[in-house]
Amino acid sequence: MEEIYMGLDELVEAVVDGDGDKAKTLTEQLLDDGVSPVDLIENGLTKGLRLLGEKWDAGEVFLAEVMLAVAAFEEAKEVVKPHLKSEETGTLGTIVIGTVAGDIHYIGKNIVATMLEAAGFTVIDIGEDVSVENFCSSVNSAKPNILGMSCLISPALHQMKEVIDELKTRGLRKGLLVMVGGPPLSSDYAEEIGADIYVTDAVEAVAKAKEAMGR
Amino acid sequence: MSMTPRERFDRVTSHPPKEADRICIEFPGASITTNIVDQPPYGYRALCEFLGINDYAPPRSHSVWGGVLNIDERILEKFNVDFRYLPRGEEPPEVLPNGYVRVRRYFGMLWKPAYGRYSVVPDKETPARYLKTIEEIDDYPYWPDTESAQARKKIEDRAEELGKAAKKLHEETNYVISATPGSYDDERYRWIRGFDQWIIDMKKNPEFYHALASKMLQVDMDKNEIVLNAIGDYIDRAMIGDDYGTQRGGMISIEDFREFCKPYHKKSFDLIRKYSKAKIQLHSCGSIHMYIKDFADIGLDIIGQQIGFAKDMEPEKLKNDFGDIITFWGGMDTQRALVHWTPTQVKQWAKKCIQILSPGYIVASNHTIERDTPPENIWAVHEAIEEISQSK
Repeated sequence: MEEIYMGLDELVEAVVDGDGDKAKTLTEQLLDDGVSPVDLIENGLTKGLRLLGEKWDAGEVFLAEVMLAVAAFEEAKEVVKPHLKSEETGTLGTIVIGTVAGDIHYIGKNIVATMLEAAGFTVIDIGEDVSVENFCSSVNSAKPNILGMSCLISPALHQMKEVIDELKTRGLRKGLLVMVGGPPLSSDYAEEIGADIYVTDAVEAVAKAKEAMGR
Repeated sequence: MSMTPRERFDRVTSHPPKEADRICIEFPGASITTNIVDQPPYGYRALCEFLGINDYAPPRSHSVWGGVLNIDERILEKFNVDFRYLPRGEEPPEVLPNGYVRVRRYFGMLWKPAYGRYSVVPDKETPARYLKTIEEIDDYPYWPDTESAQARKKIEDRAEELGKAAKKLHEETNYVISATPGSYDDERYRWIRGFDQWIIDMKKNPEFYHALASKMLQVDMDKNEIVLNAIGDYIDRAMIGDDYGTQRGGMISIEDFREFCKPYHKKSFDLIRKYSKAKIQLHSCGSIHMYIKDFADIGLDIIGQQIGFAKDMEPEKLKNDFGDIITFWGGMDTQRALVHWTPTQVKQWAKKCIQILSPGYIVASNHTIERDTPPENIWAVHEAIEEISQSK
């Protein structure tokens, strides 16, 4: 048992170090040793990414390290996925996320999406330059708990309000939490357009999404 | 005593900076990241009309960044802009069957159409992403030709043309002559390999990283040396660009910056210094506080632009930490302040930046002025400068 815990600790370290090869190998070994896929994800891969997120929040690591850790997480998660039974793929909630129309920036949005996924949410990333229609139809079909919208340039900012207004018009706003983020925004602006959650980075997005879901 | 723009610039970009007769101004400018887009609802034409300039020439915008390159001289005069610019050449686009454009001078990077201009393609579509080994680098098909007789002739002709333009501006005006003579640019690594691969190469395959970066530098320097030789005596500022900041800090650690980025910038700066006494100025988005000292160490004179709107970039902190070793440029925020604030708030912010950062400060936008910026807010920066100048 002690060896398994040590193995999980090593896996956590591999994710923090952004060592995808090591994370994959350890994941395979731990599966062979009988560690449950859920344990591997929760106490290995996700824990690693969470620790890295804390280090990022504290300014101890940089975007480069975060991106490498995310890549290691994703590589190892692919190894675990086939071993998960359907009832084990529990989720904290579903989040549809995208960058609004008129804006093609993706780095920040992708990091938020991955960190949310690592935290246990089911994330549907609908990309960049997403139209009002596409946001609304995605909400209609995926029935997410949260809709996340990202924006980096101010001329595209009004799209967020248009999406929220259109969601109301189509009767899709009720029960849906709208999360918004990006440098041109402020908490006042988020409130003004009727968003529920305003975030400034990926770590805050995870914390507020979990809080909103009562976790 | 009234100073010429060149004298003023020389004083504010000394280290430590010296007091000048008034604020040094590049707002709005005509170089990338200082200019203004030509798109409604506001943009360039609205500014012209606001200023009563109705017979402006058809605006010519940069294909990707969108800012107007041929800003009307009367605008520069009304805002007392201290800079004038060497013309930027844009090669005829190589349009691909899918509508994308390949840019040979940026090592074959691809642009895709977006909203009347172009945007950089996503990481997974970048053209050099397939390279796996150092041996493959030389065979990458999109290195610009800098060696054949025909290519050399083209570069030399362009350099001669720029040299004449620079000499004319230098001799017939007393403005600060600004040029973009080319320099190493990590951004181009990201454009041809993808942002994610830039980091993966750096951290997982450093030998490959250095081989590719060295190749980029060498191709660039072959061309830049010819251009610098032609314009070096006549330019006052060499403008270069890269991006190292996010809103909350640097993209990479200072150790990685020193190993993977700084040496290439140093070689580029050394080349500029070999041919010119021009001050070297770098644009970077985001919070770059952690790299400023290192940039100053290798000869960077001026740095910008996200003053006040990214972590650790508050005017007070920048002035306190680096005021004696580097000049700051930027600060007129294009994402929030110029767009959403009232003219009074914009004026207050402009005054704050000027009062804290002067004399080592050049007033400028912190990126391209976007299309939703009311002309009244742009003019408010000018009014702030005027009011401060009058109270001196």
